[in-house]
Amino acid sequence: MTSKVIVHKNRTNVITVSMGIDVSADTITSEIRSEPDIESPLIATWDVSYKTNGSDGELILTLDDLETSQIRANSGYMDLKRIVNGEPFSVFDMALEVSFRGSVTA
Amino acid sequence: MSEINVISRTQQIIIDPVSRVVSVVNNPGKSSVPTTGIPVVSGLVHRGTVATSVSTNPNGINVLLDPTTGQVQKMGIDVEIVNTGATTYQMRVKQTGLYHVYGNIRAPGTAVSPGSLMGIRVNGLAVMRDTFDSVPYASAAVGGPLYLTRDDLLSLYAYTTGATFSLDPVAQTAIDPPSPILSAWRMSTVQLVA
Repeated sequence: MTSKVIVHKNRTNVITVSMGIDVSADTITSEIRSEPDIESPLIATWDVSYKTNGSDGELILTLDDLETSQIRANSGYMDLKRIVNGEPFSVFDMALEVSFRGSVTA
Repeated sequence: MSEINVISRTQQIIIDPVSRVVSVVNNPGKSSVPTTGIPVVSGLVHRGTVATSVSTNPNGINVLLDPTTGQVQKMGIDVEIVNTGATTYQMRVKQTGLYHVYGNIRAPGTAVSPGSLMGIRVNGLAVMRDTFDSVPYASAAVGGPLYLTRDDLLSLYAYTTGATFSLDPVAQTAIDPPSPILSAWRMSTVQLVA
């Protein structure tokens, strides 16, 4: 049932994340890299915001079109980093695959 | 003549609060399709009535239905109800295809802890979910299209962040349509008949 995350180049992309836990006191970051490895080239960085205040576990990931217009890759990987009291915790068991799709209308 | 299909795609990353399994779901969200009045195309659907009891446990909420009365909301000619007398409400897909699935839990007059949620799993993966509305009339519903394959197992689940979640089975029988509901219709092949 699980699909790849789709990112459209030259467009602003928005994805919601349901964490299922209270993350209001946490710091969440997310990046897309060419390989599921922190040493691999960085492709894009999601802007992470709360849908409300984080207590409901709902997050909004946004990639601005100015950033997606710079993407040349066709695929990549992403995950989430959750920082609690200064400690970075994993959110996913493994990185999610990302597929970049081209746009036509300039 | 060619036809252009416009796909309004949204995506959501859902992390199951119990299993922590991660799913990337296309076009998630609440359904605007009501529990009755599904557009008639062809085929046959039997519509049940009332779910009579529910119970809770510390790790979540297991939905119990009463199979002896036949008062089970069961729909769909291409799914079969399984395990209705046990602690979960499940349906197994008999035929591969595109389905509209719907789940609903309502708890009139019930206080629900903030963040309590319910949803539908397919083979144990949370694919749709919703948080309960605020008190005093707590309710939550999910629904939408899913492409399911033969032997996929649908299940309704609920999860509470606190101890105040309680579904009153007596109150459940007094509302129309009753709750909890888990239903699935294979698109283009079903008709609501009762």
